[in-house]
Amino acid sequence: MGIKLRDVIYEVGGGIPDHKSFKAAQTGGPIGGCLPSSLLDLPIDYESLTQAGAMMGSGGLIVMDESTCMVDVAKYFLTFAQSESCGKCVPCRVGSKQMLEIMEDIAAGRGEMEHLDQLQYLSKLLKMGSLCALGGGTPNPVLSTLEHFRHEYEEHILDKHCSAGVCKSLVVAPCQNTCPLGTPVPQYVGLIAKGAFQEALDLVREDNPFPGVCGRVCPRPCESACRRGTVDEPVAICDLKRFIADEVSLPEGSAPVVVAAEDLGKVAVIGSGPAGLTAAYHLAKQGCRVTVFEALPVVGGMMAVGIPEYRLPREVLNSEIRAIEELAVQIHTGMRIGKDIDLDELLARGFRAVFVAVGAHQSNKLGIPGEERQGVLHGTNFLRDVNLNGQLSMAGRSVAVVGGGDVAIDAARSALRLAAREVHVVYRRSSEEMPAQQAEIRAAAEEGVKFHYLAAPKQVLGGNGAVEGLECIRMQLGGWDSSGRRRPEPVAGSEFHLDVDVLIPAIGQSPDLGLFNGNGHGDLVNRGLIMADRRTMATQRPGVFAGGDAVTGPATVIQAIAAGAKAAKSMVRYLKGEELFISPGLPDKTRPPEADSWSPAEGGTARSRMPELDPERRKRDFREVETGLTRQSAVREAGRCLRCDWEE
Amino acid sequence: METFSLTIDGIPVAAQHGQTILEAARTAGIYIPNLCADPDLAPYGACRLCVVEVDGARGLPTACSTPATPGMVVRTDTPNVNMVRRGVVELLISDHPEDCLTCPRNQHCELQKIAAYVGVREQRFRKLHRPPIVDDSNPFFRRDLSKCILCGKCVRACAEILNVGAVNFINRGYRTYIGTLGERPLVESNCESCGLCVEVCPTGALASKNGKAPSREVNTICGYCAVGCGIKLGVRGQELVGSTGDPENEVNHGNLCVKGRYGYGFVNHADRLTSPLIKKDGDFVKASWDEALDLIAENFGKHRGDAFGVLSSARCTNEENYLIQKFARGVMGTNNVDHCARL
Repeated sequence: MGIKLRDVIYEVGGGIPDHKSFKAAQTGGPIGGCLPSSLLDLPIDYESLTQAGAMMGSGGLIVMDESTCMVDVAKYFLTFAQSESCGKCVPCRVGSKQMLEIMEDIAAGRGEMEHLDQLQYLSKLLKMGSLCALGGGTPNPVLSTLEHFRHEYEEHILDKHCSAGVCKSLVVAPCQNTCPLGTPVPQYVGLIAKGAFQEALDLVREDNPFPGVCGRVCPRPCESACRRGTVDEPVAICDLKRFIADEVSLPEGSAPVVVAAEDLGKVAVIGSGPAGLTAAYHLAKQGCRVTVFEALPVVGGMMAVGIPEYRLPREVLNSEIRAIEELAVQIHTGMRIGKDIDLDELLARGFRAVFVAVGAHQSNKLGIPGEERQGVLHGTNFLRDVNLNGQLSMAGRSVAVVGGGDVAIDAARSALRLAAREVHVVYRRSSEEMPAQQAEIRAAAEEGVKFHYLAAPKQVLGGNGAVEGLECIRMQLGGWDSSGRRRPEPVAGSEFHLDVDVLIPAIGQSPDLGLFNGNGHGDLVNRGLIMADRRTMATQRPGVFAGGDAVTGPATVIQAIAAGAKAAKSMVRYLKGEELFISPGLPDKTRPPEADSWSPAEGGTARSRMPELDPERRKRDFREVETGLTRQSAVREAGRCLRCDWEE
Repeated sequence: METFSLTIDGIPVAAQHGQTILEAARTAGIYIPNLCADPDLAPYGACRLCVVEVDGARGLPTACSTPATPGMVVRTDTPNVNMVRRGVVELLISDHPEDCLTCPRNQHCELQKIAAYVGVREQRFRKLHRPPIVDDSNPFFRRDLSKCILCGKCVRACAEILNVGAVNFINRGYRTYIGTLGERPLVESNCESCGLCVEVCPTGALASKNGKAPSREVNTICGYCAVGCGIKLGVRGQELVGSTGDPENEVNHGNLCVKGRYGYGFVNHADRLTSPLIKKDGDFVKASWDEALDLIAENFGKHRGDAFGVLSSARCTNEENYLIQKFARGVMGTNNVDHCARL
């Protein structure tokens, strides 16, 4: 008694398998309650569990990871408890039936927000009006999930979406469900399998103006969800997207884009990154006259100044940007918000709505002594220099990069290509916890980047202003944190030195909202991020919308694209004077006749490997590392898709 | 009997030991809504409508099953009590057909009364789909399980009062329903068709097949057998339309058998003889009483003594039976007297 939930799950139980993160734990069996990660430090006692909405019981401890849908879980437990009701007391007999019907509706996408109030009311009725503990406990799973995971209920009701991909009526296929943009993966992969490359690209471009970019840099959450992975290996969805983007050259590929005849007036987009340009693309298609303001001298945001060329050749990016410009989108570079142009001024100048997507370009500081020395180049600044200054060289320098994300790996591999003598990556946790894409880490290691896991920088060494070394300290993994990762703790006396003369901290970025704050727009900012509704992207100021990294903090290109698409949708509604948010309909799950003739490649058919340049050759310059699938291997790869969307 | 005092809604109430809160309230004229309680049945506590708050007690006890104790402070109208009551009624309505106007229990329905008392004006919960399950097999009453609220009164009355136990609960939870052994039609079960279940049913789940309501009631004694049950005959114009047990009668306390409750159909039956018939030339011909009695007297006179016997009926009153034996002995000169109830 009194042992912490965290210790039971991680120390006794060995933690969550398969690198998944903890979502909830149900104690007390079907009439117990679901406890979220914020209650992991709860001491397990009769009273504490009851207080938290669960209970002490013999029903075991059910630990759930991110692939669990909490609506589904509550429904499951309720089904069980409801069938156990003896049927005598009215609140339990009829009330639990009513609750179950509501839960079934929500899971099937027929839910309404008022159902949540009804669930609360019925729960109270069962608790107060039932004779026995079964009746009184039956609402617990619903009540506790409503309290701790209400957003999942709202997602099912409002967005008709089940993040975990469990509720069948809401899920077309796991890949599509996992994609932040909801890209119709099975459909375009199916078109590739038929050799209909143009149609496949057109389908992708309906929502996403950056197939060539995404096909190269996307962290491909779709592939982690791909059901083919349970047979042998996931379909190489991302490589297939790159294939069609390369195969069908733009601007011909942009031909089918239809622009609405209607004129919705002038709209401004601040920031030309993936969020801003995607919004611009959709706004223009729907009849807005779009002007994009970009602070930097180049267009593309992080796609242009963050991601190095060896991952994303500039001609790929630029041709996709050109296709957007062809929709009469005007892009002005060198215009920084708060300095060259002000939000209020834009609205006053006749822009009917503004989308703020300024990204997160400011590197976080390490906060160690000596960080101000020359030779300390913060990750995003360094990458920006690499991308904008063709003359930059690291010849003969020894570089330490601190951090474990994609920016850190990009910086390390870029430094190598700028002729650095050696490049070290210092990361405070172990390799398993590194957030950067595994393929990137592997490629960096192949190229000779040296990884120092379980190490953290302590101070930057050196006399007269220059970096002459980095003192690090060994870390060990201690207790588990709420993300399900073990907390790194310094090992006393384990200091060691890295003999480096350049230090690149890359431990995260934040939006640079200084100018924003200083111009009377502080009301739009909270904790260093712009506040926007996550469904409509609307800020609290009418006509001003925001999205991308500036709202979420540093995230992925596909998340930014999704934010831009979402913002464009509600901005058009705003311009037409409509309700900003309208629930989408349920996915159409009727099976077409062709479904019967689809036979995916046999189990054990290996995934097509993306060919890449030899590490020794490629690390000398910024030529693209991955060379793309051939037609033959792409068609073959597409044939591995199981077409889960056609599941009966 | 010794009484004590408790407080219900601030009113001092006298109660006897062994009484429940509901009984004490009823004696004091305080209404606490309920659907499954019955003065003749043991407390059950299923409908949860009679929940009250009792100072010092946990949760919301049911008045029907909680004994009244000296000094007890009971509240029947608090936010929590009303919340549960309203919820229960709304749930019952959500699970009940909406055909009140054509329901045989219209205006005599306890659920209707309580819905009116609670003041349910809207339906927040969805209508649950429950297919009508009708048992039409019994000639006197009809059972429609879609109107059953599972108060269990029929089950308990059949078992506790009649000791028959023809029906019981089948399944559990929301799938619970009332049925017979082997789920056979009522008429094939050990049901005696006494109709007590129909009498105690608070809704239209059990209802007499005779749909006519009486315009007046006549208190009388059942003539079927020698028990002498008190009945109330329902009369409409010249027609007998119903019969119920008289709860005030010391003999039967309101209970009846199938004959007392449903055996009145002959009274207004078209085939019933209302005048004497005399067979003439092979056919029965309507005759006057004088004509008929003369014919009987003439023929009886030819058969005096032990060649004659009388067989009387349990359907006759004691007075009529007395007269029959007196007639046999005094007029016909025989002791050959018998009666069907002697068998």
